[in-house]
Amino acid sequence: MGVSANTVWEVRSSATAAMVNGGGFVTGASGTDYSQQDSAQYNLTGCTSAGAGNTLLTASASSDMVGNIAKAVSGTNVTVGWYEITSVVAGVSITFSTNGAGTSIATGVVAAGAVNIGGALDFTGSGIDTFLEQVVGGNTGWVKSGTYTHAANTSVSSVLSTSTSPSNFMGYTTTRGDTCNGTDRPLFAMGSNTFTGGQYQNWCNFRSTGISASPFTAGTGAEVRNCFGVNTSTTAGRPGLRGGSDGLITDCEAVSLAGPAMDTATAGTRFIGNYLHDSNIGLGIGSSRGQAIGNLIHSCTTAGIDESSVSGTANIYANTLYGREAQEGVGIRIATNAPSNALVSNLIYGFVTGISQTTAQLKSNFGRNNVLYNCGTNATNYTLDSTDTTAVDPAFSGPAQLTGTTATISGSTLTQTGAFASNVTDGVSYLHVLSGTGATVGIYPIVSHTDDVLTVTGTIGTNATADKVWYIHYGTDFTPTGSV
Amino acid sequence: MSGSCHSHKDYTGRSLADRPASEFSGKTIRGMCLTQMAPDTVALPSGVTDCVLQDCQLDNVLIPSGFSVVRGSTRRFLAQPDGTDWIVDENNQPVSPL
Repeated sequence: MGVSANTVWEVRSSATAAMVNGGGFVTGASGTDYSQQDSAQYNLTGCTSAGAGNTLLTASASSDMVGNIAKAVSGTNVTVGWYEITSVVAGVSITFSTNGAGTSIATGVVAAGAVNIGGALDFTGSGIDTFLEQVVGGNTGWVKSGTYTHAANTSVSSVLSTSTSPSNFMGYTTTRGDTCNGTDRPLFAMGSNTFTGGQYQNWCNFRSTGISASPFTAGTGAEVRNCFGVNTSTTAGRPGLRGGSDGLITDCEAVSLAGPAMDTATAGTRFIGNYLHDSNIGLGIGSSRGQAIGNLIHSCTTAGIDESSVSGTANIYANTLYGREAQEGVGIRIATNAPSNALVSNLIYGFVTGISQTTAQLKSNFGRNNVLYNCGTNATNYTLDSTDTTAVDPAFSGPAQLTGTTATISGSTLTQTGAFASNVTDGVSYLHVLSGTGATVGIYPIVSHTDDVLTVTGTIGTNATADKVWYIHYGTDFTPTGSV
Repeated sequence: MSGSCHSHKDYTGRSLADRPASEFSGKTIRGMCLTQMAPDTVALPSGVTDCVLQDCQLDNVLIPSGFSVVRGSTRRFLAQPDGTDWIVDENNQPVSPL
């Protein structure tokens, strides 16, 4: 059913708009790979057929087409979609696979059939979910560096990728398989739209931005690697990246100005080795069996890790949780009646409260070998283990904050003379506005700056009273130099 | 029509209203994301002539005269705390889920 498992897809922001190209080629096929170009090699029109089935009649049929993926775009009795070209009778006919749903290209006698062969996909506009739903386990999708502005929600319901045969989408910079980090990673600009990937569809080397409740949510069992998700909504609770059930998010970075940088609403999601910062919450675990291992989390207003599931059973191991030097929020927050959470070998530094359970501790929650330091209160409704320590400063190598208490604001700018002469990086640093007359408290991405003035995304307010309290975190070397 | 430095750029939540009209007049801008949080946000400059916004995300952006829109998205919506955002009419009354 559908295209070959050996199909390799190509996505480019410079490709023909509206997802009308074939976009793929089957590795090892006898034809010529026309997917790695912006436009289709063949734009067939006037295709016909003798009746229903997998064969269209066209005088343009050519043997070099074999192995390319074709996009059927219109025609009488044509099923729109993507099909592999399995064989050709030159000058006479083209035979196709069925589509991902097992349907033939011709549902009856075809007239005026329009089929595009070759050319990359553009991943812009609507129809992305239709494409992803016919991707087959074993397929690889290469997505070239660029900005992909989505104009509709994408929600993939497909079972064609499985735990034993996943599909993999990978960003690249200029050549398939090259190094693809930072801003070289393809960007999904979701705007107000949501993206929910399919089951066992893995994503590597991407960025996403958005303001919806779900700018990037991985599907069941999907792995997300080396991705960066940012949610700039000012509405609470919206994640930067969301993991799927029994999925994995690893080596990723995420930010959410008013919500969790990363979270999960389904069971068994693993978060390993991620960098979460400048958010309301670092990591939100909203279902059972969540695993948070080796993550670096800093500068989060409400909590570093929020275990909000009443099912509990989270494993929270070896994370570095850093509030700020002047203390902020809760290091690890455990919901009311959440049982059987394990807190082991975490560094918890710079919080108003290190570990907190909303109500009296359930004794099935336990911890050991955690280091808590510079916390106003080490634990609330939680009893530290004898192996936990509160006396040793981990003495991190690098983290610090710029701070101020006398700034003024005007729209998207915050002004304090000489405050920003160093340690501010445009497009990387975040302004935390904590209080002040006429100011909207919150986190703001810094767009540009001078020594005296920050310009941010969003509106802080307009007020000339020099009483705005703020901070900016800098320094990402959290290597502990203390005896921890 | 010529291309623009704003094509395929992500300006989510940011304003381009203070940019010079010359960056837009006579240009075709493709694939730009300028989505805003609140309906009718002024995020594009005035005084622009003959600018085409093609396949752009312009939800909640007030489109001034001088711009024309080809495909893309120009919805008015309000974010909701429950995560289900709503398309709203000119009076900000709910029409349908986004």
